[in-house]
Amino acid sequence: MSNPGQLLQQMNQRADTLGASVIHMFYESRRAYRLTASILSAGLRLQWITRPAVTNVVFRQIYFTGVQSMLWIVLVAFGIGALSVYNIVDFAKSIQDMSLIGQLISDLLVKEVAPLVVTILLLSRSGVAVVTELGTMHVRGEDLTLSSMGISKEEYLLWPRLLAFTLCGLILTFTFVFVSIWLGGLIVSMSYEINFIDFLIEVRRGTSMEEIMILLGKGTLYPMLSAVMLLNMGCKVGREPNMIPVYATQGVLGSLMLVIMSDAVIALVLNLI
Amino acid sequence: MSDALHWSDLHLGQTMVPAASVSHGEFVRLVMNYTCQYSFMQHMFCLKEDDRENGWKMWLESNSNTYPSGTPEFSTRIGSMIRQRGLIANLTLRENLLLPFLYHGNQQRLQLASDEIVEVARRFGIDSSLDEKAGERSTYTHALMSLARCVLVKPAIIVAQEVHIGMPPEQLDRFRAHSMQALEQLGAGLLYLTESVDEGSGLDYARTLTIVTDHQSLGSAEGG
Repeated sequence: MSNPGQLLQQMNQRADTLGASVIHMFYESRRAYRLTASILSAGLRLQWITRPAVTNVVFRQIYFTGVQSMLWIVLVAFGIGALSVYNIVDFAKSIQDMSLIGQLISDLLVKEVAPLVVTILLLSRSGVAVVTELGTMHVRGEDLTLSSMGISKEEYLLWPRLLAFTLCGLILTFTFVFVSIWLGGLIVSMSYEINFIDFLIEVRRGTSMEEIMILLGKGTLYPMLSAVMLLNMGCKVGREPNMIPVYATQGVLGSLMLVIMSDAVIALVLNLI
Repeated sequence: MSDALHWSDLHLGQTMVPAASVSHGEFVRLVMNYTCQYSFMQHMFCLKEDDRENGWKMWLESNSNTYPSGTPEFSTRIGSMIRQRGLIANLTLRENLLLPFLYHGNQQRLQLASDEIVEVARRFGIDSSLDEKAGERSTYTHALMSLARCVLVKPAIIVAQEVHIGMPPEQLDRFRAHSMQALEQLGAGLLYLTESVDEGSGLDYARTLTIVTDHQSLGSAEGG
């Protein structure tokens, strides 16, 4: 049995560890908040529109993040759409209530699956690239080179990536929804489970403006949160090249956790309303 | 021209850099260790948002205007030649040279620089590789690109940091000749940050300020 002195020492150590973790979390949150505020402030001033150097980076980022991801999104949407629609139609037929088709597609595919899958695909395709590119620039000291030319890091490096992630995330989410519903419906209608026109009517009946607004919100928020996390990690690399893979992993996993937690919070809030 | 770079007493960690200034056309050498050089440049170009308002201790006086350090107005008027920091790797050499003009969006200056770029690149022997991606380049190319950018920007004052260090002798000779010619043409003031007085620039300095790191900053000598 340990004596009271040892017990007290153990408790003190645990309190120390807990306190240090809380301070660290608080510090990290404040850092992320400041970074996000400075990026948004640089971007929303809209001066970047008149700067060819920045618009060039914006176009390149949109191309890498959005255009090059399109084929992957279409392929994944096709696969997930066919599977989901087939199972939903099959389930609705088994309980002989075809009116459930629209409701289930709206609740599952539109509100939940599409924003999450698109964000996960964006993260796996571009997440590591964002952290690695920013980290390498820091290691090479290119941030000092930019500052010495009077170029704002937030405006030239960070804002284009945040904008591209958010904008492309939203567009790809809507693409995912259209492709998965249309192609999924077409495939299922070929197997004579349901007529394609009837299927579309059911989908239309089950989709309200509220669901489209939720899709819009999640399709914007999730890629944006992911981008903020990735940019934050990219800027933390400092001058150590061997920290690049560490922060790249942390960035992608942190983004995933952030998105899943946000999804849970949104579901909770929507249930409470 | 009445351009001059000034700084008041600067505390860089435990080291104090005493107040001094560099006037247009004047060459000044500041001898201090690498950490202090880096902090000095950070203070010059990367001031935090809070410090930009009232924490600045360095400024450029130009035609009776004062431009505090860390602001874009300051950085656009100061040329920089930082060792191994002359390039952005994912841009071509042409984009690297035109970057300040493309960013600041002044069409007239951009047009002027675009007209001059081929001539400047030919002078420095980089005209054949202008459209190549920068990627990884030698110390010499970094130095040459910084110098070429300064020639295009035509700054009032140039800050160089150990830009002559780490080159093979024949490249050093070539770069020395290019830089002397360019400085003469520009007529700009030069602040040279270095760890040793044998920095290899071959320039004739008006003053050399030596910063000692043991809590004191002493030593000012006339001439090179």
